[in-house]
Amino acid sequence: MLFNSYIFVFAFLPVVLVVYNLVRKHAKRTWAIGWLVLASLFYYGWWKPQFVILLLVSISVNAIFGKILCQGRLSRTASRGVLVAGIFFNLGVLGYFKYAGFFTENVNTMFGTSFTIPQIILPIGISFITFQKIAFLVDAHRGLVRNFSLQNYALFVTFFPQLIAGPIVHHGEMIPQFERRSPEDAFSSNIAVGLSIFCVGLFKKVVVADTCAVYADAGYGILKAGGSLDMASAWMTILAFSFQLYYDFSGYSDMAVGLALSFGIRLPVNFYSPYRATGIVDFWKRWHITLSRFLRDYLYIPLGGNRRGALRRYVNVATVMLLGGLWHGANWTFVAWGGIHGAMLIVNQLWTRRTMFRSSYFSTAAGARAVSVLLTFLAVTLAWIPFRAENIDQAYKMFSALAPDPISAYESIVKFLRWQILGVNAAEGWFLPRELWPNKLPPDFLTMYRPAGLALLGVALATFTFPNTNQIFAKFEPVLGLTEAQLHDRHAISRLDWKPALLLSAMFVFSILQLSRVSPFLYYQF
Amino acid sequence: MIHSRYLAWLALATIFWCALYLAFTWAVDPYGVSPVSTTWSTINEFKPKRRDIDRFLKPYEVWQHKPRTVFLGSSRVLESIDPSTLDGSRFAPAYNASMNATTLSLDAAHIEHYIKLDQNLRFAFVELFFWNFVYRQPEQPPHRLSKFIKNSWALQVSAQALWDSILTLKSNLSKNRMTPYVGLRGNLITAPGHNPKPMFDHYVEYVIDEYRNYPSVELHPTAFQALDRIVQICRQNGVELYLLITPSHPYDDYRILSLGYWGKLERWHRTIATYPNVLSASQYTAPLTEPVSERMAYWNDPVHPSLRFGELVLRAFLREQNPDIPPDILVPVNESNVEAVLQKRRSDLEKWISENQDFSTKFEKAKDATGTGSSSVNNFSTLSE
Repeated sequence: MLFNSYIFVFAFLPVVLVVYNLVRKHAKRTWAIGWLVLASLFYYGWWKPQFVILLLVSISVNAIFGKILCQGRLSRTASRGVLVAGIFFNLGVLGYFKYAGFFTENVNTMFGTSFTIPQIILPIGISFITFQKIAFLVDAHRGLVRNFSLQNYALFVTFFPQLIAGPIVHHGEMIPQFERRSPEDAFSSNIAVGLSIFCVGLFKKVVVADTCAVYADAGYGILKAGGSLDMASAWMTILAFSFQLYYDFSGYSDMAVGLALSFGIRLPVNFYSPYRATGIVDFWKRWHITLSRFLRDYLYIPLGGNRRGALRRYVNVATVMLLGGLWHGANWTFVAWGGIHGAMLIVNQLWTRRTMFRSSYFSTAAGARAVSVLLTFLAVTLAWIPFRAENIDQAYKMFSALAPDPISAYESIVKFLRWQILGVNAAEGWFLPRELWPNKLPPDFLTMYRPAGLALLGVALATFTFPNTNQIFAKFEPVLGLTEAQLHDRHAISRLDWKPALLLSAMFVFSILQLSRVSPFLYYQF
Repeated sequence: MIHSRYLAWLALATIFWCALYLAFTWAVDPYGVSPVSTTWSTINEFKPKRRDIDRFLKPYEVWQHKPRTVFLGSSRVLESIDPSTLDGSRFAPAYNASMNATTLSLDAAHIEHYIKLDQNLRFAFVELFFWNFVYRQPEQPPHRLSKFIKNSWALQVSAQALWDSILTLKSNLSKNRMTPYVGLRGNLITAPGHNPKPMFDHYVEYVIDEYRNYPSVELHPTAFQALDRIVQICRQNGVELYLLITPSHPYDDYRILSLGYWGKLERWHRTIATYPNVLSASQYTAPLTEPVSERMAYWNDPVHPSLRFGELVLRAFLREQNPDIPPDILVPVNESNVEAVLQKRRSDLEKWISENQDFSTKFEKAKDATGTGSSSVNNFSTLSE
């Protein structure tokens, strides 16, 4: 079930919310938690009910491991053994469902063998769930988890707003919230803020991300079909994908935050204007923050972090990013993407160690900041190419199309600029449905006929100038992990009254109108 | 601070925007599906956006109008059959449910779907077109009711409907009606002043180009399987089926002959003659051989007959007595007369070629120039399968 579907918005969510409120008011808290677990399992099973069994088995096994580790009666060695068994179990499940095909394919390529394995369907969200459970076991082994109830643990794993695409939550920030009874008046406030944030997220996903997706898919579709792209179309494609992914993930994160808040649960901040980062290190403090946190706490630091010299530090960074890339998908393209980011992080760290770049000028001067932001955005956008490409060859073709010979480049730019002017009045072209496009798209299709560049420029301006959702709603503390400065952001609205209601409802209605064409979240595949 | 009535305002504002949306899209009614259907000449009389969405629109209109007769087929039926010709007959009300670039397997899925949507359905006309039988029919799973509901919902409630309302309003206000559109009975209405001549002039280059890309033409068994399925569905559901061989312009007949496909065309004819209720509108009548000009009554281009042609065919079907209707514009084809029908078509084409040497010369020159055929195959005696 997608958040951006009629069934979710008009059936599942209202029913779950109303029943939760009734149970919360009239019964014990455990019943309310039980209802949320049940609803979350239903939500998870909507696509493939058989995966609910897998999820339940996984929860049960992990709860047993967790209980053993929490009791504290084991010797250090025995506890480590239990932990290893638990991690082995979780990575085994993940490996079987996500990486078995990839592994077999590569073994066959390397050794000329012809092993075959049956087609395995990937349970959605398995990567996110696995990380949460591993983090829980590691902390239990470290003695950081006190005794827990099975019900709370089940909700920690299955809570539907973050179940299948994150944020990757930590037991320490979730389970205490499940145990705490919120004041009665907080409930309606939480719903008001939660639904408002949900409206913003829905709009970002179905209006902005899905519109950008049309251009990105068309460009990559041309390459997939064996065609070529002119320079302007290639840049249009990668920029469209960059914004598609941004608003897809940002919208999803907002919806998850809004939904969780409607049930009185605050999720950790996961997304904070990453395209306004002034460097790659800064980017990873803003993009998929909870993944960065997990990789730091449960991979980078155990590998030695930055405690064993500069060289080891860079090796650790590269290792973490390569594995982080592989976590996103079982394909060498994701490994390449992780590798590029690893390299960029190392370069960024080396750069900032140079004395001249430590000057406050580089962090405060508007011009220098703007250049830093632009360069970071460009680097991240180029790095998305292998992330989006279906194979390395396709990524190479896209890189090649970005920088053709000077004459082709000049012709492409002139044509592109002309259509940004001529196309403004071609109202039909602005939103020509994908179905009406030619079957075989010419190399300059994205450059010609429509002012797609202006549309992307509008998206870019919004991205770089508008405050993000966490800034807008900062005064209502919608997420965990915001700093004091962020909570007192000057863009924050202080009143929710009829004016935001009018705007947010317009965004909601327009989003609902877009739902007639359902498209899955990109992040669901990870 | 959260105002105590914030949630109520949110709900009321949502209702307000929904009402505004519905008021606008239902008033402009870009697809002709509004429950408060009203026509204003300056606002919504002309509905150009109906053309883009026939795969959504036609099942919806079959369900909405519950016609007694449907026409299925490709753009050739779409452009030539005005169902209102059947008004007043036992076939009324009729609806043209044909779609551009349809296939026989899609027609089979459609007729099955329409029978479920329309309990009133008694008659179906399905197009038989030689070129639809020469490729593998794509797998076509049955249409699902859930998809129909989803698509119908999108006609009423979608951002596309809003955008198309704005474009429809713009077209009507600017009196820009120079594009073809799909009328409320499902047939295409060409733009006023339509000039078919350029398409006739470029016909040779177009077909020679296509021949270079796809030189091999074979009758494909999946097409006949799809036709069998259509017959079976109609029989099982008590729907009387008519299989209509739509008009083939002499240009196209010459192409078939010259490129060496005539034997396949005859084999196709003999096979379909074994099916019940086959009617042919491909005889060499005056409308079929209308001379090419900038204003043609019977052809929109060399492939698509016009509404006027279709009207004559339907009036012949209704057995109307009218001197304008050529006596053999529509003839039944069956196993007993198929050889005579083919013999007549061969001799009529030979006669047409002798009277239109310019065209045949141009065609053969184009063939030779592009190296697609070194020798001409322009008489029937040289043909073999």
